[in-house]
Amino acid sequence: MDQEELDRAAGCRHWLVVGGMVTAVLLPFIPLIIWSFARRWFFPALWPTEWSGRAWSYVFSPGSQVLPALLNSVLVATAVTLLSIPIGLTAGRAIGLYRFRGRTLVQFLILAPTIVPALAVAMGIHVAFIRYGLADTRLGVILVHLVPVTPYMVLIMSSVFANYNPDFEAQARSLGARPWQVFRFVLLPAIWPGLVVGSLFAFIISWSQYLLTLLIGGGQVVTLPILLFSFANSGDNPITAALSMVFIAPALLFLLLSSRYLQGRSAAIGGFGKL
Amino acid sequence: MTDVTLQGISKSYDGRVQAVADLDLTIPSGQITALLGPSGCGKTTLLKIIAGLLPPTAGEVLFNGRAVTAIPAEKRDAVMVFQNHLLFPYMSVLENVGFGLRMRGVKKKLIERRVAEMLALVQLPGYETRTPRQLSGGQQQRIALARALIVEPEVLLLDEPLANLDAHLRDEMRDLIVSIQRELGITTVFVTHDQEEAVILAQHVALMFAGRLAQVGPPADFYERPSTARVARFFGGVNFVEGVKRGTAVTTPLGVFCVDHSPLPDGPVLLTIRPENVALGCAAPENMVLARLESRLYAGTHTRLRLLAETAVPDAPPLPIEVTAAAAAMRQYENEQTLKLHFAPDHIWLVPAD
Repeated sequence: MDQEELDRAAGCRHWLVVGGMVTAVLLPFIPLIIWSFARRWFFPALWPTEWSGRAWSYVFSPGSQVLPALLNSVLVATAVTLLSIPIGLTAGRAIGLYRFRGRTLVQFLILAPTIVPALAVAMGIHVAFIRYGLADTRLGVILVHLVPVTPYMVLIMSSVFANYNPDFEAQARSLGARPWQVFRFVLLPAIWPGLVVGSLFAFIISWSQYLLTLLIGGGQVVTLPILLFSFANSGDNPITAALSMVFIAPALLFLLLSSRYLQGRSAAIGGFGKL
Repeated sequence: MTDVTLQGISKSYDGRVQAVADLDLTIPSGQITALLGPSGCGKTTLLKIIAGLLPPTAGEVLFNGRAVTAIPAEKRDAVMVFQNHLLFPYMSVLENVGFGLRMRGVKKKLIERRVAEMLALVQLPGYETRTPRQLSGGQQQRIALARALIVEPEVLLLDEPLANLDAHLRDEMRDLIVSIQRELGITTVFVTHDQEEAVILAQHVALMFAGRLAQVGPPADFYERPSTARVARFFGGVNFVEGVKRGTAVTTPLGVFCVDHSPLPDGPVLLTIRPENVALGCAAPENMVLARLESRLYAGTHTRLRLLAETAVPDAPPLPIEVTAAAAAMRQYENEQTLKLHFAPDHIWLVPAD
């Protein structure tokens, strides 16, 4: 085989893999799409026997709970992401850059929320939040979402900082850069891909929280997952299907926007480091 | 023109590791000064203290007699160039070289003009649009130099400027640094562990051991008048003979030697002579040593001879002597041959006994 044929074969393989992955991701959406337009669809019918736009008209109707829930979800996930950035930046820098006494313990404590069941954590936090008046509030939900989000953010940022050379900051200062200029022109560009990926994780983890939102929000803070579960529970498949798609859309959009930071040579999260 | 004075500078980490200890040094204005020493002697720490990147634990840094110790790095008239050049990888050469001016809020047009001037100075004109990745190691080092010089610092600080370069690039870079320094007359301090580099590049050398200054002066002093045996060894001194000085005579196991000059008081001393200053074949009986040739090492431009000299002390082992002779010595002499060596009085130097 000459080079051209080899290239063509490699190209074929590439598209086969990509095509397979896209299919695997999109396949589950097909029944969702069909369900969202169905009125009656019972076994053994291969196709809905009756169609309806009820689910979608409910989703977009101003009187439904969807819009406020969507707004709540966006608000909570954005706030959680923004709050997790300074935590990830400082803790990630400390762990990734410096060797200090008790570093392993700090690493373990930061990872602990991913090991301990969320329910156990949330029960304890709930008691404290009731006392502080944070239960059943949006702020409480935001704070409790930080529990599962922080470990991932710190993990990603510490692996970013493990490959970061702080001498660049000293060089910039020596050339006359003031502290905020060092941050803006040296630190930020260097960690930007990692920061985007970390934020993506933070957003998606917060976005898909059900248990913690339900426990701390106490049904008062209605986010999309809460709404979704209540419709799923009531057995209203068309609305559940339509909501699921609304639920997935922003995450998918976010993923597409930041995909260039997740792949190839930019290597935002060159492995998760030694953990 | 700016001179730099260090007064009682100390730096310790965690209150334990003493990197620099109570160091006084004056760096003359408009010259190249080398901070020389083995790795870990605190020379880079000292450079960072001058740059303002590290606060000293004690002591003052003065520029032209004005204390700058409290002035942060970004406002000090000193720019440091790091050992591995540290060009910002996500910036073009133009952005890298113009970085210092941009931080000072200089207009874009003016930055572009100044960058072009600087690139011409480091002999890389027209490289503005390249990225650091597209440059060779030597080019990166030159861009880093241009980036430092563009802000017109009073003091230029270079950390091992030649360390990461191949031999021929090293010569090129060295010449460039010397010619730029001569053109701009900028007070330059550079750190190196290579005594040859220090001697060739600098007009003024400060040798450091373990956070302390061992000797300061013009390069030739370190070869001709080392202050201690350790300094002499660092500069390639290998021949040391214990003795007792009385006036201009030094009594040693190899006999009595006549010495031209020495600032040391009478008493026990170490007599030293550089291998290249030992003369072969001697007519006069004074300052003469008989030694047996043990081995020869041909080095192209010269031959390194290892000899053993019999001492007058009974049962004492013979003393090793090294001689750097002309390349022809390789053919001229045979091993096991006994040679007459002459330690000329003006080449003998005395250092304190260890």
